Amino acid sequence: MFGYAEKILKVNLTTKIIDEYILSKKAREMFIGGKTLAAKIIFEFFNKKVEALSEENIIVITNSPLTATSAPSSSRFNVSTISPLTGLLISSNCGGNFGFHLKRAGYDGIIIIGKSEEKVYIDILNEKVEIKSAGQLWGKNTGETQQLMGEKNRGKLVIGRAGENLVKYAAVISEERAIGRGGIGAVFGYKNLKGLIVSGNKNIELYDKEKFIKHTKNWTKNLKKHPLTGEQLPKLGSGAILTMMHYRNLLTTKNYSRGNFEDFEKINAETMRKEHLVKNKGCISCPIQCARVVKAYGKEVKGPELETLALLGSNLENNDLQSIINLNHLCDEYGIDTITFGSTIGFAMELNEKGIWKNGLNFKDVSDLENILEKIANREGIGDELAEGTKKLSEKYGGKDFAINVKGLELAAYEPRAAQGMGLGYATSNRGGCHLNGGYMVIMEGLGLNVNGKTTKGKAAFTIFFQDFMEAVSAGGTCLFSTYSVLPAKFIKKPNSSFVRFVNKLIPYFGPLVGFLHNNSIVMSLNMKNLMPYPYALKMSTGFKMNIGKFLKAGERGYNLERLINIRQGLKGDQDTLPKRLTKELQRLEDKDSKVKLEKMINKYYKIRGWDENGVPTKKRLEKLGIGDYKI
Amino acid sequence: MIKVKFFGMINVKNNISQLEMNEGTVKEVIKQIIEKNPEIKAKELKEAVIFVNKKNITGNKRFSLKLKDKDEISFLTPSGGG
Repeated sequence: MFGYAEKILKVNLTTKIIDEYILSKKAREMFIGGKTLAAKIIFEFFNKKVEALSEENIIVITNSPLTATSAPSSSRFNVSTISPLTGLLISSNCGGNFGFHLKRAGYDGIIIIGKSEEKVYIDILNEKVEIKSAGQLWGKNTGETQQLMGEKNRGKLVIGRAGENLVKYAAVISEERAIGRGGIGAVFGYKNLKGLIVSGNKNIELYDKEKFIKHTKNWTKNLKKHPLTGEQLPKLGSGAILTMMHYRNLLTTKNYSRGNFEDFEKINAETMRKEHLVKNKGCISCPIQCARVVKAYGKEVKGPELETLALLGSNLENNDLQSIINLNHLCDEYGIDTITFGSTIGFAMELNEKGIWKNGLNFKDVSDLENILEKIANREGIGDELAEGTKKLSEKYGGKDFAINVKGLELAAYEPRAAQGMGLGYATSNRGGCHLNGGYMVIMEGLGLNVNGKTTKGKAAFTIFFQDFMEAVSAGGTCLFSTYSVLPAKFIKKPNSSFVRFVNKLIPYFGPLVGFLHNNSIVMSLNMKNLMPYPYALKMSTGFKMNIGKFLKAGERGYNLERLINIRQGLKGDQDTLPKRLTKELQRLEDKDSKVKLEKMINKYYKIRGWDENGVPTKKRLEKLGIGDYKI
Repeated sequence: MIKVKFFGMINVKNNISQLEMNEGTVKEVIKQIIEKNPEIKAKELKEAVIFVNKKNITGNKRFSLKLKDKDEISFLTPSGGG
């Protein structure tokens, strides 16, 4: 089968039986790979609600048809499971080299079942798959664990102490990159699984190698010459947007009580570049090279990403960039999600400030946070409570109105009261408070483009479009940063031109057209190779009859299937909401529009999605997507 | 004096963060910047996203806006990341 390694490995940690999961060609064509393929596997594995930290839960690791090919930014892989933080489906996507090595070993994915009695890790070298003792690795940080695992040129995926101790937002680390969100590390820890190491020497056969290489060369060239992916991200990294977020009131500050931070210049990407940057680097096959190398504790380490700069910086009113760099490094070493860590600490600081929970944590003071972080990783003292995340803390101490989470997952760095579409995206995202799975509308609402963030007009349709688009891009296996090249360069280079300003004003009025196209994707049975390079790359890789319409439909199919899993896990429509701080409190008293007007968008969102008034996908819509027989 | 700040690729390309200029319209301030820092291109500043006292100014009349003592003008480039 072209584009795929063909095998999906099944490892049962309880019985130690290792075999293969059979997947038809039709299923591959429908679900492609990555998170949507993982959703199909998880949906079929259970026929009931499953507890995250139970033997029944499974971990599904998947790569994609573009992984380990010449497609740019295509080394991504996905890990999905039921989240201990939200109780819902969580999928988390990572760069680095693990996905590449997994594919070269001859696998499109690994399903990990059951629970080992002993501490173990899985070693995969082509067909040779072994469950090995991790006794000597247990208790070690992620960096040391990867070193002890041996050979450099192998893909590694490991947990740290946080995962072992079932911290609800424990991450899984590969090199210095994180499967960050939703506590997947705790599911590894519960299964007594320290990690995986993988490599192989299989080649991937492509449907039309010549056309594929020609197309991906051109795609890479376009990324290199685009002002965002060719210039700004390599020079400034993902933190490049922090300054614009401050000016547009989009930067979470003091537990989401404000959208701007007076000391933003002390923590922005420009300052990191001047004062801390050693060099930039990136994933295998990526021409963007957005990652930063900086120094912490006298050694060269990964620099903080935008989310970390904001959640450990402005969100805590912390203007000390070196402290953010250090905390970021320690989070990676312990295996902790920096977003939920920063958000949980911000919430605890506000509880302390309001006298609701006297815990000694204060805004502007991060002097004890390294100590607190270690306590969280070890679940000691106050760390044991903080290890549960924001929602659990609010259930115990109160403050639900300013406990900034959706469905249990803490929000990312974007304050949505200045970006209605981003607010709707957070509220409806299958992962919970995730900017990417939410559609990342904020890129249109003030960062890359300047579409009016205050209006709700057209936002439901655009949010759905981008949710499905990004779902499909993830399924294909490329980094979401590659989607920036879809934005015409002129819009970035000349934001003040009459034409660009006119288009920015016009975009919300295109909502009905976007909604129509969403529901009639057959209209888009074409391949515009430069504008949207993904479908054609998938077509040349796999031989599938792929075009823009089918590609977006695959994204929509995945989004709906994830929704079905969440409903089976107990999700109700009234959970498609935001904390009251964001919907009832004005961000700026002088601006009556500075709150998320969710009530104006949510019904329209359901209607365009083809979901009923309770947010349940209708039978008609599921049938249209070819998943009518997926019943909950 | 007017405080002038540079961010994004303007900051990176010209290795400049902040300057102080005399009062005048936005157009006049840009002219002063170019005169004192010829490495900066007028086009870069004219095409930038401009904030005056943290308020975004757009449209063709933005260059005639008068800046007073202690005002702050910031030049940014549209951005992506996250």
